[in-house]
Amino acid sequence: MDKKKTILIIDDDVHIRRILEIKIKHNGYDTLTAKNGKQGLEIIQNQKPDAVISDLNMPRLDGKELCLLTNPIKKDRPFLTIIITARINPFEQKWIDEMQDTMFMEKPFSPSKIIDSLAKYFENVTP
Amino acid sequence: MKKTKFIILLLFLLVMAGIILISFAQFKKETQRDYRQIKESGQSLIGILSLPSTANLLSGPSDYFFREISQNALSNKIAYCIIHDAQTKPVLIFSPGNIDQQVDDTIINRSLLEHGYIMQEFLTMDGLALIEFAKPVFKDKNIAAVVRLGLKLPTNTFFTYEHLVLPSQIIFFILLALVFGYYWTILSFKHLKTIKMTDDGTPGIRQGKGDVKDIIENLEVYLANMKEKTNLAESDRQKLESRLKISQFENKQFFNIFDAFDFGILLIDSRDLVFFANTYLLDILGQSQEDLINFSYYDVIEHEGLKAFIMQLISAERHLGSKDINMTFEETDPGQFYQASSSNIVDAEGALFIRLIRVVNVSREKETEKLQQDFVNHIAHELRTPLTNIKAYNEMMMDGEIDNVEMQKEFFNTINDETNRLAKLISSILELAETEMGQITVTKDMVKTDWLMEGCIEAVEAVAKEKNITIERQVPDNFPKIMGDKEMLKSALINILGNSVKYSPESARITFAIKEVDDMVVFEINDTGFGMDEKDLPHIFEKFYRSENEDVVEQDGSGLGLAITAEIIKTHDGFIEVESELDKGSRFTIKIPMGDLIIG
Repeated sequence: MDKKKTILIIDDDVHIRRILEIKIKHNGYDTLTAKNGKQGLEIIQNQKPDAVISDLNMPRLDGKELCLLTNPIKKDRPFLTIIITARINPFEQKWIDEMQDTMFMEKPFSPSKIIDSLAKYFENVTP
Repeated sequence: MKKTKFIILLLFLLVMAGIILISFAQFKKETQRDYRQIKESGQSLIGILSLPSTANLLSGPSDYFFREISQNALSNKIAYCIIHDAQTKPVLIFSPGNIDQQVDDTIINRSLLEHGYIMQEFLTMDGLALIEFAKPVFKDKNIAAVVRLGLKLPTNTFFTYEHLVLPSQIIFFILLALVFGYYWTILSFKHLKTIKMTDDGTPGIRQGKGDVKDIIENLEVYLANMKEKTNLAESDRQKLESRLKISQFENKQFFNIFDAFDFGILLIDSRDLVFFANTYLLDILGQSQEDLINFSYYDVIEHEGLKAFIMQLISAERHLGSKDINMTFEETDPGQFYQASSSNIVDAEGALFIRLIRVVNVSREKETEKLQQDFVNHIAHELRTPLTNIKAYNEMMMDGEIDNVEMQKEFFNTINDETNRLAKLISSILELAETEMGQITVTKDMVKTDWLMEGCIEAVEAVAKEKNITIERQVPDNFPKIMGDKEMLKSALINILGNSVKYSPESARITFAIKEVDDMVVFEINDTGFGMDEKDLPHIFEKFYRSENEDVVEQDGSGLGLAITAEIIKTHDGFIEVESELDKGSRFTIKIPMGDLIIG
């Protein structure tokens, strides 16, 4: 059996971290959590998650800065990043499009859709 | 007029003198020609008459001799012919036409040859001019006789028909010239009259009969007119110069006004030449007036963005202006944002006169726009986060994914908490918006400060008790009263006191003091909580500002509480101050003027 995929959840809101953790675990993935972008970056670098779900608006390194820092890593070790944002405007759409394997999901999102996106991604990247 | 008459008289005399001179020259020439002819003919005839055969005449005149004398071309000129014998005695005396006519004795007795003359001129007693030729007749080598021939010299009359032909011709040509001159002058005067017609009120050229006098007079009038017109023209020129100076002065005033503007002005004329650029624009372009004025904008405007904007304007060829565009001047004004806009100035006929281009610094507007954008983003974030939780937790429950009863309870609690959070947030946003926009109704009444203190403590007491936090009251002997909106003031104080409870560790101590200082009521809330970082202090009253301090992030909060408090205190003409040190605590001091209390 394949090794369980690990999903990193980064959000400063405890309730969102909690619900995503439960939902993702229920769907057979391992989870890691971080309260801000800085913690999240450390986990990405050290624990190499298979996918990252991150809030955009966070203290200590927001979602955009995190993407900019992690995008170069994706060349050698691609992984999915789902950016959760309250409001997507054309300017944000632009920089998200420039990132590798990155998509956005607007609040209020459905946890099921997150699972669908993860499943689809792993389906495509797994040989 | 006298001068004119004199000129005419002088011309006339000159013409007459010319005629006399020419006639005299003609007469003299004719006289000389006749004299030469007589002289030559006389010499020829005397040669013939002095042939040796003439000596025979002494014995009796021959027909030959008479034929030569009477049929000669000079016969009518011959005055006499006298033949002297060898002893100088006149033997034969002839007179033409009448041979027998007596020749004057004085002539007969003159023996010219005695004196050695062969030709001489003389006057007779009758005043007749004669020329005499004398020649000896030789026979057998001896003088046999002497022939004397007297010819009448030409007596030309000065006033002959021939003489008058040439002067008549001259006079004819002079008259012709005068007639021609007259008509030429008439034609010229017609032209001058046209000038008169175009200039009303000036003395015109009199309609003369075309004689010289009239022409001269007309010329004088014309010259007078011209002088007057010259004076008028000079006066007009001075007026125009004055107007030009006034216009230049007005232009300068205009330009001075333009220079006082705090935005750039560029004027481009209909030939695409730079007409004016104000100091503001020159500064941001980094160019001088001399670089630009009267040159094609395309050649001299170095800023590519501005040049492209003008090109776009001209190619659009609309008189309604053009779409505004944004630009920066990184070399002269880095970090600032500018906006160029245009409007076209047209003349009375609606033709384009000047293109006016404004370049305005819109950095502040951009900043405001960014703040507004950030504000909207913050609101969206703050509102959608609890909404997301409500939706997500609810969805999980509905999908039946949570079968554990304890977890179901937790989920219901979370949904409830997040709903309350959302409701509170909406209230805060509305409260802030209304306070900021001045839409909230401030009901100012006499507010008892003891009531305020108790109300605030009551509001936070439950949470404080959970954390075992003590709130100590520091009260004056007499509670002061203030004029204000009691609900608003209470709300402002609760925000601060609530923060103290929220950001203090368990079992901490908070003091809430009220005192009266110089007609002001001072509220002091002092905690020994987490305190604030120095870098956060300038921003704590900004909307949605939240410290990145982990102790702060852990707590729920919208970042609107202190912003609302600041607005309420501002509405009451009060002040708020904060002192804080990280990990040691914070002290908030609020001062509200007591106002004119209504005792009732």
